[in-house]
Amino acid sequence: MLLSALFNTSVTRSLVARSLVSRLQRTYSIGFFVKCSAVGFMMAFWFGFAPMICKAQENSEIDFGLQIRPILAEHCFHCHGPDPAHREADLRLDEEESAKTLRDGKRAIAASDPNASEILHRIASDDPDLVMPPPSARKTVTPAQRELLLKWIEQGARWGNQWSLNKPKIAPLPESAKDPWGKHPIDAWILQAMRDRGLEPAPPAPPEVLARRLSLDLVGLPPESHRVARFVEEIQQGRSVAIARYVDELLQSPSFGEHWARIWLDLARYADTKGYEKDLKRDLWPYRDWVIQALNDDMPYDRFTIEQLAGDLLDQPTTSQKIATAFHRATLSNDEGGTDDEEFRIAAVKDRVDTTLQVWMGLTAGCAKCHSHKYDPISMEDYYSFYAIWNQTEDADRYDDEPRMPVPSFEQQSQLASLQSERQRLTSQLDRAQLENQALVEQRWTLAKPTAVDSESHAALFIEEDSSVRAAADRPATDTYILEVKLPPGTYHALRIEALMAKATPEDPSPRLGLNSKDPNFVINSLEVLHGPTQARVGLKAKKVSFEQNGWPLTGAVDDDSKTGWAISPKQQQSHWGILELAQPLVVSEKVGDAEEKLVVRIVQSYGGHLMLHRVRIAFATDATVPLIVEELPAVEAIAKRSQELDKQIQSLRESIPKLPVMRELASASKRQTRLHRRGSFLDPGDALSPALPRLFDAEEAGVPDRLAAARWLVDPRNPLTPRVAVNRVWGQIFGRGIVETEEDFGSQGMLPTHPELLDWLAIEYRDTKHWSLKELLKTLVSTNTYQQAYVQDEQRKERDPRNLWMSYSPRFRLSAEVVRDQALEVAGLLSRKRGGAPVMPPQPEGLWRSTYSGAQWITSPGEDRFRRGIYTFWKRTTPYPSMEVFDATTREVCQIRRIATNTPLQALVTLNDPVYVEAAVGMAKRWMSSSDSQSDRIRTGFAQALCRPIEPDELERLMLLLSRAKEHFEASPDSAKALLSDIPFASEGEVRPSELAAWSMVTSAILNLDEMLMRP
Amino acid sequence: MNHSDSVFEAAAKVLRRRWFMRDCSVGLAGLAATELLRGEQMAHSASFFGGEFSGDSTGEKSGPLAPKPPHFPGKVKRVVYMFQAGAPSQLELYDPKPELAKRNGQLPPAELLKGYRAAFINPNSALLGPKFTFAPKGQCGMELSEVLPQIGEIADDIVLIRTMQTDAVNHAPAQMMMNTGSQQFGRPSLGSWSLYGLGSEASDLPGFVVLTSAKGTSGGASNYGSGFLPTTYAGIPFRSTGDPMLYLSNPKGVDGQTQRESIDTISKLNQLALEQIGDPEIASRIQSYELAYKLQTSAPELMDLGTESKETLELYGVKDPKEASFARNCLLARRLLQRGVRFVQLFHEVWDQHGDLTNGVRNNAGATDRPSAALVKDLKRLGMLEDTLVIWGGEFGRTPMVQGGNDGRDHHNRSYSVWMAGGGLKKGLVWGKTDELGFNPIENPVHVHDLNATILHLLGFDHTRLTFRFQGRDYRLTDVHGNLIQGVLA
Repeated sequence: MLLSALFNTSVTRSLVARSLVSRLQRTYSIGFFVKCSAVGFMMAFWFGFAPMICKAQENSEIDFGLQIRPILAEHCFHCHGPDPAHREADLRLDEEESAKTLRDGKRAIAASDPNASEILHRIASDDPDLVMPPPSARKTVTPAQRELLLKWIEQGARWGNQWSLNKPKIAPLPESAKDPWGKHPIDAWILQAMRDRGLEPAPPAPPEVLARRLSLDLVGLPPESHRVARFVEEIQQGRSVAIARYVDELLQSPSFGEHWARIWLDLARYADTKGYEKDLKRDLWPYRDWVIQALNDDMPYDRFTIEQLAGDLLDQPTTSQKIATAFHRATLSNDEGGTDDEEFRIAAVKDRVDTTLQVWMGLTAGCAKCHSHKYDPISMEDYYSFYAIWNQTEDADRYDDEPRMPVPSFEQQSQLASLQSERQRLTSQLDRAQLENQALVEQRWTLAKPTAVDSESHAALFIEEDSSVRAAADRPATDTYILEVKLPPGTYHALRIEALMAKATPEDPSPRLGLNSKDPNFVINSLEVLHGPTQARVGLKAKKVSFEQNGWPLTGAVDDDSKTGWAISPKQQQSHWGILELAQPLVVSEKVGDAEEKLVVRIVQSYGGHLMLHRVRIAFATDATVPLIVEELPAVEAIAKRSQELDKQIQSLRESIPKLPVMRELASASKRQTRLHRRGSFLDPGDALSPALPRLFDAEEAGVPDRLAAARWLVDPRNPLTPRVAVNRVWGQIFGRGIVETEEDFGSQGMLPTHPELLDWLAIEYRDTKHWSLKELLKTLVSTNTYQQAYVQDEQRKERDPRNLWMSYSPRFRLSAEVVRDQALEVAGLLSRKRGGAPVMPPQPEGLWRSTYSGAQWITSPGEDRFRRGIYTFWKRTTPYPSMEVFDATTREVCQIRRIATNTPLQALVTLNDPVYVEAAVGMAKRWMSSSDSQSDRIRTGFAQALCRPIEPDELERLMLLLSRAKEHFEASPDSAKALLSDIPFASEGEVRPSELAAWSMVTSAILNLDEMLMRP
Repeated sequence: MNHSDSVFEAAAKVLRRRWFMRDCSVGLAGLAATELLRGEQMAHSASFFGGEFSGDSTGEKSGPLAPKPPHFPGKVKRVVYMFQAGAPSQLELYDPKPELAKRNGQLPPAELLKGYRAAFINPNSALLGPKFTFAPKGQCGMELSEVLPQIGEIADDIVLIRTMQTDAVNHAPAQMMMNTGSQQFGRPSLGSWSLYGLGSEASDLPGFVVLTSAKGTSGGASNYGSGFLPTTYAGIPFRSTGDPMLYLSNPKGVDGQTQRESIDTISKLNQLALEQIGDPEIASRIQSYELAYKLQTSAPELMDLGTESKETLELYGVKDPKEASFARNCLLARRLLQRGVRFVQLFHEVWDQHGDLTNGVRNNAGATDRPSAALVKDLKRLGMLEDTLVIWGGEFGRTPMVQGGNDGRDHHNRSYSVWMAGGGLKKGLVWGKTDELGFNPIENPVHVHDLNATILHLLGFDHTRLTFRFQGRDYRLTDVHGNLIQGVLA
């Protein structure tokens, strides 16, 4: 069998490797050397490293994009590139025409004629005045590069594009596709590249290793041991079926979205605060939950793109599509006092432009903010024309972060609905009760029907049908209304005066309360009731009033002081009433029309300024003992009180609903004019520019592009970069490094792909065959022999593939900050499965949050919220969660394409001493102790649970030693045991001796700190 | 600890093999650029702290923090940066303006206000005379404010730049500008660049330590962050109360011996894995744990001022050695420098006197004058000033115009004062001159990039060549700017 043949060949090469064979068969892992974490190799290979170089030496045709342009870009474009401001001698080497044009009898590049090609003379010249690049550039073209240029010119100097701007194309599969190992196209390309370098693949990884690797890679959590056991069993029956089933399970798990969302949120610079000095809280988490959901739903990448960049511009956008647009509202917002909002709005828009090009196309456009790009074809005009597309949203670095969209949870929605429906029910109840009461009350009042009206000024007064009296507006500034009224016979105890809104009339179209249209207040300085033949004045006493202006009470209208009176400012917008008690009952006999019963009401309004009643009505009541107004009725009061309570509840519920900042396009009338910012400064505006897409590939152009057009352009099938960049990023997650190592840069300064044909194959597969499905792409990747290799080292690999560029063994790299933490909680049996919702605050050292001008505090979350997955941890930009920061998580202030892994003592301090990890160790110890009565069995089971492999005898021996020493310590000092367990609520549950639990916790803590635990196997 | 010794010995052996640097650098032989090698070194985060494995018989160096030679021999080896956040008023402290006093209450000349950007006030506000008197100090006759008597005593040791200029007018962006050379987030800080370029000589402490007194900084962690450089180069904040570093103490109830036992077990198991797997990263991990253990002793020892004499405490004005203060941080800075720490940065954010200027400046000067001067005197006494760079300054200055009634000043980015002392610098020099009202430099303006270029120069770097390739571009601290301030160099 070929595989074993491969295996044997490789192992016989080294004694060390031979010793590894037995280990591999025994347990889990082989391998010798090398960890190539993503750490900073980027610089080493930009210069001219290319997988094709060796082929060139075999006289095959040289690829301009992959082999020649990078040399020109590195050495020449700075002065002979796209930036006109720095161009020398009017020569461009980024354009074929300019490069091959005859000038002063010379050509920079003369096809098929090396001797006539000035460039070859210049790069080889010894003359400091002639040599290129000039000595000041401190760059030299290497002999290998010179050789390449020479051959290329000999071959005819065929021009082309920057490699990444060429359309991805399917290349014929290499020879190695015939090999059983290389049956899958991915494996064929990988195997071919290995063989080209005299390498052979590593044997397949043991099932336990594969189980842990797949689980950590796909869901960011270790597998449960019973599942590993089943996997190992199933794999005996049939490897690929077992793997496919296991992978499907993982991809279906909701944990999948949580893991991959974390990766996306680094790009989205997602955080729970706004950044800068104040760094106030921002409710962005509904967007985080949207990303998790979209990934779990396997939303195709094109839709995923369009909804985040322009969901609001789709036809009839759904709530979910609007939530998606928060992607670009994650930009920083500066709430520091004294800032110019426009300055920071512009900074945010530029960040959106840079992030968009970076995330989707792997282009760094940032340079073009201040000058035309020196290496890539993005001029300053291109930049600001693209910027113009993003410059049209409503957000403007405002303190309130508007526009925002309330995003109630399901619970909040139903709670709000039920409160609102109760409130509605009460309102109609109240209306009904009020109407009933109104009718009831009206029965108790008898309207005094005006029979004759006049005023001191004799300006007109009109009697209305409802017994009210309306004053014409045209009258002196003060006046006294004199109303002669008639009442049915009876004994009256109380008087009511109503100030009513005047109805609009043709002469006086605006209805109002008082005559003065600017201030429709009134002042009644004196209200007098005159009765009988002598017109004796009836004494009045103010009882109740709808409203009294401060200093102008109703009593003022019935005292003897003509300066005092009743007024109602500021409530000029409603009718008013006043109720007065009569000093003596007013008896009206049946002698109708008799002067004996003449009843006159005088309303003196001497304040001035036309502050006079517009419409007034008088009524009398016979019985002053029954309630005379609505509010006094208890039923109404009860309903009103409940309504108020409900209003408060609704209000506070509304306030608790997160308000998510979203993108919203400006109305066309208020669109911004975009100008180029000279030298990148918004204070120095240049020419006005129309929105336009960069001309990086041939795309259809239809009208003025907006954000939606830009989003569609990014996922246009003609866009050569988007699928390449996307698959490369996924590859990087799975294999620890992208095929293009500089995942963030596919421009001419980025590194070249190690496997260009494979990258193209993947890009087309992802876009066209898998229809942008991430889950399908992952399924494909992890099903390959390449992925399923073991970690192996031997002299040959050490020599020929030290950085694992050729993938002749499985990579080994450190888990991300979140996975390190989640894994610890998971193997301790503590990790909460609660999904989504507001961010949580697991324990962190006190006193860390010390923003200069913010009182925000870290309040440790209770209950299971202590143990949520890392993605739910509150992310404060100026003070990120410290233990994650130590493991290379970023501040999330700007888009971060990949994290560079480090290995520091501070990480050791976290996993040794951070109370979160101590708690995990104690949780783990409890689990272990309940698994068996035998100490060694406990360790065996627990170790396998944590690391998915059986323990080795020497490992067991050392852990037993630690256990006995720790027991000695804690048994001698029971207080120490109590102290260790003191802040851990679950530690005291069940019948466990503190000293024993503490001792076991030291053993589990050691497991959590093993290198193997922290590494992806 | 025989057992553990052997484990670390074995790990060290693997590290010394350094197959990569020896075997793989062959492929890079054609490349002269030291940056490339730096990049490769970073790949092997073998030793977090410098020194540990450097300079063995083959002369190989390892670890991202191993000491590295700069471009040319530097005048200084280490830096202490007393960052006075909030923007100290140069008009009350360092830049005497008698004419401003005479024109107190008058409006500023219109031509000075063209294009003026203030944060809060209408620029057309009345001029405000300086609140304190100035007098010549030292042999050099440097004019300094009455509230800086101690700094007056070191006038002959410092270079005072009166013509600093910056681009930003708000605290957070301006602090970022001073510390990272950019108002945008994501760039490495000055301390990170220094560490990236030089590595560290501290064997059991981080190479870049941050101490904070008063309020936290407006720019947050990014003021001392590593930006796009690996986090190994980030400043590590030491805390003034409790553990000096996060997670430094053993878990409660775990004594030193038990912790040692744990680490030995971890290392033993890692050692077994190393023998089987051979990944040098495992050796690095073993080292990290050993260094973490050392740090658990060295950091608290560092913070314990009990060994300092009464005279020293008095020199710095440390009243209570346990209580957090700027004075205590200055003394701690000296202790850190003595232990080989490359870059120490103190953040003291108190200087934002929009109002209550007279009292505010007097009190702040009272708390910072003595310790700042003491640090220079103490370093000099210890013979360390010759190869140390001391920097004192904030993110911008304050307006000649009044804010509020008659006792406040707004943000002013056109001229402010910063002083430096130490190796490679002239002494007792005033550099730059502002106009009679303190608006603009009229002689020798110094932009933030110029200051940073000069700082790197003193450390032995050509600021245009200390670069890191990120997103397709060779980034540097000074962007595309920066000119050496030749006039201040000795």
